[in-house]
Amino acid sequence: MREKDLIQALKEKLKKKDDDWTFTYGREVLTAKIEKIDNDKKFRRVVVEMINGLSMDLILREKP
Amino acid sequence: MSWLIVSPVFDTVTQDCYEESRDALEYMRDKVKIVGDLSGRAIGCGEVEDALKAEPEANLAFWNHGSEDKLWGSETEAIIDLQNVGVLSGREVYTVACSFGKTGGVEAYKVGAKAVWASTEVVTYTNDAKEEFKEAFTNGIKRRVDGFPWKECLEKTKNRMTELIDKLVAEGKNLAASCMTWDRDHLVCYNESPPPPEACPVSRVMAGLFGYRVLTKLRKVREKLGFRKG
Repeated sequence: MREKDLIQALKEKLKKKDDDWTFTYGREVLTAKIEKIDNDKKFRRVVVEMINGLSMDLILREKP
Repeated sequence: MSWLIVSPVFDTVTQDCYEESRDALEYMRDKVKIVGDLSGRAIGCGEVEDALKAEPEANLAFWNHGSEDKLWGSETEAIIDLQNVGVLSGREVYTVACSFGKTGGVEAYKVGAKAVWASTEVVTYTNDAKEEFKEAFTNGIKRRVDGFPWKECLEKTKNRMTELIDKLVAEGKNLAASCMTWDRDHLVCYNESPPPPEACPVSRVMAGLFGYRVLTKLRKVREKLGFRKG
């Protein structure tokens, strides 16, 4: 999946989150709107790394 | 073994950190001596330095904001930076703070800290899994006061975080699980094995010749000039 598509899918998913859901990123407490994802290249890269990190972790620990 | 607890409060995130520190403190009280608890408000650099100098044997446990070369006591004042990192010499240092493992933690180890527990990146969490993150962020120091060597504390904490990742995935909290994976993968403990050398050869030479204070200043200049990090 291309980064652009991954971010779009994530944004669609976040639309369904409760209003009180928050994501703390260092000093920042972000709501499900996460506008930062459109405006901050480094943050976008981290989010993609986080998602890929979990995916790879689950795959690598998969039982044979 | 004795510990100084530092968990300043001055915003929403630091309030979460404070709750984690209370959980750890509750566990630690019966097992080790707590020589001080500078927590629940903004904390000044002088307060921490004085407390550490008064207790030369004490270790430091810190929950709050961090950056590559600093541990913060308030919005504007660092309690530890590259100027006073020497106060950590001879001590064990447990930090739950962003990025300190990148530079400040390395320098602390180089000036003689016995162990430095830190994250090399921004710490992340979601509020739908606060209990799980609290457990993850306090597990290392709890295992240490149980008597395990730091290497085992790190292994046990990473293993527990992996169990928590599986639990969160099973509950459908996949974004929380992503955060937990990220936090686990950037958790380090500089103890018996030294920090890895700088990946960038230029940074390696600069750090070796002039130290991390100069390297950090050069990195800040580079960022101001708009150059991308290597």
